[in-house]
Amino acid sequence: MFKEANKNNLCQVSLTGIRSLVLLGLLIDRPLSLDEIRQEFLKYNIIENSNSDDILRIDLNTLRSMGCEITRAKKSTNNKFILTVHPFMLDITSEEMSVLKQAFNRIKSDLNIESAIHFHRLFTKIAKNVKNVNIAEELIGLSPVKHYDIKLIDKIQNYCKEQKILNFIYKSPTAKNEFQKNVKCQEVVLKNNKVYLYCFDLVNKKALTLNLDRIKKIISCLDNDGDNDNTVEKFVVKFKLKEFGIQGLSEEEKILEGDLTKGFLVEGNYYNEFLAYQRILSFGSNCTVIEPLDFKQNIINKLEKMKEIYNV
Amino acid sequence: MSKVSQKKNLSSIQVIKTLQILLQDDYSMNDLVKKLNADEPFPIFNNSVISKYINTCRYIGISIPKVNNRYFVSSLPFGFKLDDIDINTIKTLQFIVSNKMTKKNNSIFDKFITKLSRHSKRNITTINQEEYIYSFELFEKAIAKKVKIRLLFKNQDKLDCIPLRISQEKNKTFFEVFNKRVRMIDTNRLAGIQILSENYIEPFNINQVAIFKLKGNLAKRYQARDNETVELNSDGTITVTNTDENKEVLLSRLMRYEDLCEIISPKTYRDEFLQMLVDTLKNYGK
Repeated sequence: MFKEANKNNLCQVSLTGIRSLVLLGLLIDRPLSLDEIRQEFLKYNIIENSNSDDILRIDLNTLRSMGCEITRAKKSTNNKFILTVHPFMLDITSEEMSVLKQAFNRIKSDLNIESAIHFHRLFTKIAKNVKNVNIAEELIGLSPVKHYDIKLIDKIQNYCKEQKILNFIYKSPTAKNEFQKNVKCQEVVLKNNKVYLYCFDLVNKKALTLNLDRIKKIISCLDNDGDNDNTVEKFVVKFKLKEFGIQGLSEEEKILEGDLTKGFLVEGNYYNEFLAYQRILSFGSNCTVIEPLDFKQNIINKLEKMKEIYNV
Repeated sequence: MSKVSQKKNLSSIQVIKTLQILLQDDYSMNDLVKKLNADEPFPIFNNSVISKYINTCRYIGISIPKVNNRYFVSSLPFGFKLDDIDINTIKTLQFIVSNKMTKKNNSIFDKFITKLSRHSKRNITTINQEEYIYSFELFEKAIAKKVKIRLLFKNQDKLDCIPLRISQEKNKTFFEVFNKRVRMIDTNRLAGIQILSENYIEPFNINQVAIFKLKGNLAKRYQARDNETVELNSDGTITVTNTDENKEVLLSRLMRYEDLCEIISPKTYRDEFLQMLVDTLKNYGK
């Protein structure tokens, strides 16, 4: 972290100042015992072997007097000094936080799972170094994946790359008990602020969209030996869009023809039929389904049922 | 209490004080002398002492450049570690701020980036801020002054309206405005914006509270958002109170919930939702 001091070259610098800054840097990095501090100071050539530990204690006091909160080295801290607060923590103003929040909210809805995790890691890293606890909480609160186990997401993303066969305990909100699922992993996606695993159910032979938060325990993970070649065929819908409204097109959709004056003919390739219904309905009156015909009829039925609720 | 526990190094304290001041802003030597002596009972900091303390900081690797006779910290060896992915993530935000937000917000965000850079192990280069989009400035100015605006569309249309806020959905920037109803205008459709002299009084509660009821499986699996509270009803349904969500975004989301959702209030939302259903059914000749 620091360069070794050359004692022949210490004119116009304060050696005690160097010690304090080095000590601060070391304690920011990790908790240390008195002996570990001594070893580090010797390594950087900023104390002599003959110096007593009192020098180190005075350096610790100096940092405390400057606003550092350093615990005592006791049994419960494994005889290490732990720095909990220091005056060099980042002071983010509420005005700065507000701009950061506005900027992030402008891109939030377009994030894919990878970039959501990148933002999560960045916000967490900054939050750990922020002076004001409320600002730190607000920063972490911005992350769309804050409620998820990031390590699990990473792990399952890797399984998806290799299309592994996963057996796990899943807790569906609608079922009383947890149950086992045996699936072929396909893709981890972020949709509407939730992380889903797109996978193929090897028992019921159908495409599933499972909330990653509900995977309780992974029982086994096996290589895909090729016998389970259940390529999921995307559910294709052709529809007309008068205008995009508040929705932009997603990666699943492509414009076949049209322009702003005539409207657009769009093809949507959705992971399953359920996601297709959700997406089409969310376009509201801007959208008219062309095909498949049974899907179109189901949309009409759904809209009529919805209308009945308000026609009381 | 032993004597050791009370002893401190005065010179170390002064080095740390110097570093603390340098982390706040860029200062000339004269500014530093004034700033550092401000809290002292008598002046102890002078040019030579401060130079020594700056050298001390530099000696251990704290980067303190002197540009235009002003000193500042550009990175700390014990600051937090930002990797390449972090830097690119920050640049994504910088790009949004510099292209889609006002000059004032740009300058606030620049200060934040400078702070991040100073407290981190590596410099974050600020991206070149080209011209800010002037319309965003005008829009926010109109909100602040509570005056109406005229939106000039590329297709020659005009719309006199009350400016509400700038919002972003699906990578598109919208001006939320009020003219008979709240409208979201895609800024890509605009050719210009004109500030009118007519003042307005907010005619309604912009941050509307919406209440909707969910039933069936959706009620069981619904995960409330940060701006929502949920109440469980005795019949197994849930009542969700949603605040401060853009109406069009909310109604589009509620469409996805099919007949498992009913908007309870406000009445305007109910009416508009019903109208949306009627209009969508008309697309199919119903």
